[in-house]
Amino acid sequence: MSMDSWIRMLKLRFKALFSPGRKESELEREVRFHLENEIEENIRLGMSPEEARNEAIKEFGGMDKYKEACRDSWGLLVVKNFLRNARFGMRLSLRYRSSSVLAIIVLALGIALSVMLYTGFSRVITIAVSGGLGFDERHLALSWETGKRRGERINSQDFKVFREELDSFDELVGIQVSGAWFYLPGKRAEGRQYSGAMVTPNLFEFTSRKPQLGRVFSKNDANFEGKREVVVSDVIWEEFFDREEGVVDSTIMVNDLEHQIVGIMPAGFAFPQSQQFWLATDWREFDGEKRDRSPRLSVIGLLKSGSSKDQASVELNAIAANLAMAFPDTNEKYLRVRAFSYWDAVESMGGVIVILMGLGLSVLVLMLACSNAFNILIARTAGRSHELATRCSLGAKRSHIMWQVMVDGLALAGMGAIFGLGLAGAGLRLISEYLKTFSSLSIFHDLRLEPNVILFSAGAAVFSGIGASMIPAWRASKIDAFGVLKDDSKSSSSVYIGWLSKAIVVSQVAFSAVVLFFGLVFLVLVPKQWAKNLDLPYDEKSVLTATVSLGKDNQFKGRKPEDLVQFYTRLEERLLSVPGVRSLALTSAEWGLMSDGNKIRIEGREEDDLPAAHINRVSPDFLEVYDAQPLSGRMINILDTHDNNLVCVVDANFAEVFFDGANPIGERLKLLPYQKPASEWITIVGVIPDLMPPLPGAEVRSHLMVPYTQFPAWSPTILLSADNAGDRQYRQAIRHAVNTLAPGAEINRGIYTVEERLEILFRMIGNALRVGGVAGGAVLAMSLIGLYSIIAFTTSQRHKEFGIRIAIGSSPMGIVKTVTKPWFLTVGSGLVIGYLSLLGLLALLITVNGSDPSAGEVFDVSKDMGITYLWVVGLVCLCSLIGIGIPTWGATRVDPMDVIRAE
Amino acid sequence: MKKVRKELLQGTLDLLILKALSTGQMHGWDISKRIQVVSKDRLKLKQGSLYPALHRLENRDWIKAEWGVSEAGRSAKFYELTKKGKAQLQEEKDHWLSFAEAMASVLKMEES
Repeated sequence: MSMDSWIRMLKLRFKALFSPGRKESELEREVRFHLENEIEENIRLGMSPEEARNEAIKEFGGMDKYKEACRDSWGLLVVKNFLRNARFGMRLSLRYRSSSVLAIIVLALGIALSVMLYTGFSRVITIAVSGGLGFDERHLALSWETGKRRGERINSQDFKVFREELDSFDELVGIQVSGAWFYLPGKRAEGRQYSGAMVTPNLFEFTSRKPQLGRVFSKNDANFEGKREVVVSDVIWEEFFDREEGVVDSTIMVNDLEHQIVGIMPAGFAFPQSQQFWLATDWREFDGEKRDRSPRLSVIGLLKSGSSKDQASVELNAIAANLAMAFPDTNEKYLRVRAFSYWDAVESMGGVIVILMGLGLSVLVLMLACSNAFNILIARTAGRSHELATRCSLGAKRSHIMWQVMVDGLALAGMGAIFGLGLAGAGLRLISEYLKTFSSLSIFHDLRLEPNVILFSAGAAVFSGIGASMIPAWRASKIDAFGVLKDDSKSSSSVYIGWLSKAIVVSQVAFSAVVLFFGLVFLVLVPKQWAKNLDLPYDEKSVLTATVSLGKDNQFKGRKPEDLVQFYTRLEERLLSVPGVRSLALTSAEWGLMSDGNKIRIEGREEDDLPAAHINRVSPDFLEVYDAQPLSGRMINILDTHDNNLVCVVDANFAEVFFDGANPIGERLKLLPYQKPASEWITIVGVIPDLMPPLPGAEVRSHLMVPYTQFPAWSPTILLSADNAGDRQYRQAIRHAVNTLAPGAEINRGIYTVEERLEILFRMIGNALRVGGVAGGAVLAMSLIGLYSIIAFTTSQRHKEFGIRIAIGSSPMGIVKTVTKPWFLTVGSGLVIGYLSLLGLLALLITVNGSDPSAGEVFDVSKDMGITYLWVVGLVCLCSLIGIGIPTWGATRVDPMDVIRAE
Repeated sequence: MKKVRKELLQGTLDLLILKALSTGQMHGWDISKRIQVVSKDRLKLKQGSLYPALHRLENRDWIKAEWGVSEAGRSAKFYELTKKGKAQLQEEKDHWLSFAEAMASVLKMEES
């Protein structure tokens, strides 16, 4: 067909679809013209006007029939049939009101959950693949190639050379991530720590993002004279200024320096990761300094159109080679530049699997909703056997019967999707509001229904409708019309609800049992176990913690252990002079609570599967902070320097696990796979009490302490011991001491007591579990609604039978037994299969974590599982009783006279 | 003269309409009269059946329509062949003639 023909055809269809009135009137005029001509002809032949008219109409033939045939030829048959079927689907829904409501609830829940999961994963994918800013293959991150999985960042002086000399890039942006203490003038103690970035002024043009208020930096804004300017995030605007309109141009203190707020970015903008503020700079203060002392930047560039990644790589490596020749001291090993897009990074980190798993979960939830809707639909279709048999006998084709049933499913799915979208929208708003309390999760601060999500839910509705109705439709199309019409029985055997529905009910019960089991474990059992294990041997309020990134301060660039000793000595002097401070220590355990896991090899034991322990690098006063003493041997002291033999102390649990409780002093071990000095043997010199709590994610509770001078930690946690360590004076003292002794260092995520850290951790985990619990509850509700609906519907189809049984003398208890027996067997089978599935799942988890002896400590498989599963059985039986009981009660109330009269 | 049986006509209506329009632009009544006259009254359609066929042919882009004024000064919808319609007419004519020839050959066979 030529283009003109296509255009003509489309115009006709368009006209028919959107101006049907005009088409109708044209048809009328055409027919009228024909009749008038025929009448005139007949009058010329000698007929009277009335005879001529009658003859003309007779000759024309069935006017309505031909007009209808004309309308059919306009290509609107499909649309008309669709509308007719949609109206039919709505009438069916009204006819079977209760099952329609159940099906809509189930589908709405399923679609809502699926849409919320999809939105969350879609947001993560967008950020991962394109930075959340529409980045594509031309936006490349640049770093030095080191042969390892991650490259090294480029220092500011090298960055400037690249920026001046590169031809293949349109723009280059430099980013130095940095934290800062934010507070309003005069309110230092009420401030908050935020993660932000020092950036080249072209960052916002590069990301094409406009501020919601004020302005962003321009290319000339690296101004160090006078007041500095800062662009802040929506989070800071909310937390500090309650979203007041007049915030632009107001003053805020950033690390004790006055800054003027010039702009506020929209909610959700946190580029590059979870940044809340941006300062413009060009790092000019480092020009001319030794290059390795310049700050290291994350660099992103935009390829010029027409340039390829390979061309850019050649140019980048040529510049790198020139820099290596010009500055051999610092750049000798940096000969190649790695250039990769966001998608390259996602692929290399196995992100594709995570993305697929996330999307798979959305689909799984949808399939669960479909299986519930399936049961409802097959029961409904069974109830329509007579109607479908009548259609069949009147000549309806198999495809027509199938389509009749699928229309029912699609109508329900359509309504379920509308309600589901509403639920999802409300759910996403609630989750966004809740997550606003976590500034590091700013990518989730503005979750909303986006066009691609609405498209997904439309697809979900169609999938659900077809998925739930396909098998019932196929079954219905195979109906024996003669048999059904002959057989007056209204039993559900005509569209046979047999093994398939029962299999679905059994699998739903099993799945619900497993979901409920894990829900009870994570919501009730695990927190209870944690609370029991968290009986710490010291007062959690008396230890204040602050984790400091020393590596960002220039004095630690060389990273020599003596630097750390010097820092710690001066820190100790300052803080011990603060009234009330009892003792001070350093530890590598983040927040003082979480140490790094490491494989170890104990001398004299040749094991293929090396055990693991938690390694903690500590200063000599570590035990004093916790008011503890060594149980045997000695603690690490100031003589354990980097020049001497390597030593360590272990906690009591370590001695128990690895030495069966025997005295381990004098035994030697190695840490793997560290480089020197860890390749040397480390001698155990003492055993101390268990001080570190078992936290979620911790593999083992066995700890090994090594001197920080022999194994330096450049992000140590300061531990300050005092009565009421949470008082403001101690926090201020730590901050002041760090700012004075290491001005470039940052305090990560605030200064909190151990008690406060645990509360934060538990709150985060608790809330995450609650969200999971709500989702699990929704899944359970879907399964039980499915169960109830099929039992209720099949019971209602047997009312005649019950009426006859009651009429011939059956007792209500007899009716109850008749109704409930098969379904109790079904539910019971589901619970048994659920239990067996659980055993298999737990066996798999234990096998995967086989080398972890403490996996069973958090959760005692043999004892707790049995008790928890009894709770599960109880809950499922209770819900099943409601599902079975209501229709059973209805069955016992059947009036035989009503049933017989209805016949 | 005997009239052609209805079931034969139904299969050839499109061809008749295309052929009628090959002589020039016409409205629906003209087409039905032309067919009747040229066939010497042997082909007399149920007139209403013309219009679904005309609309169908228009959708297939074998004919195109536009409103105009008839000889009597009344508003009428005129149809004419498109280029595609002309090609289709030739094709159907060839097909029909070939069929007729084949039928004639069979019918000329001597009966035993």
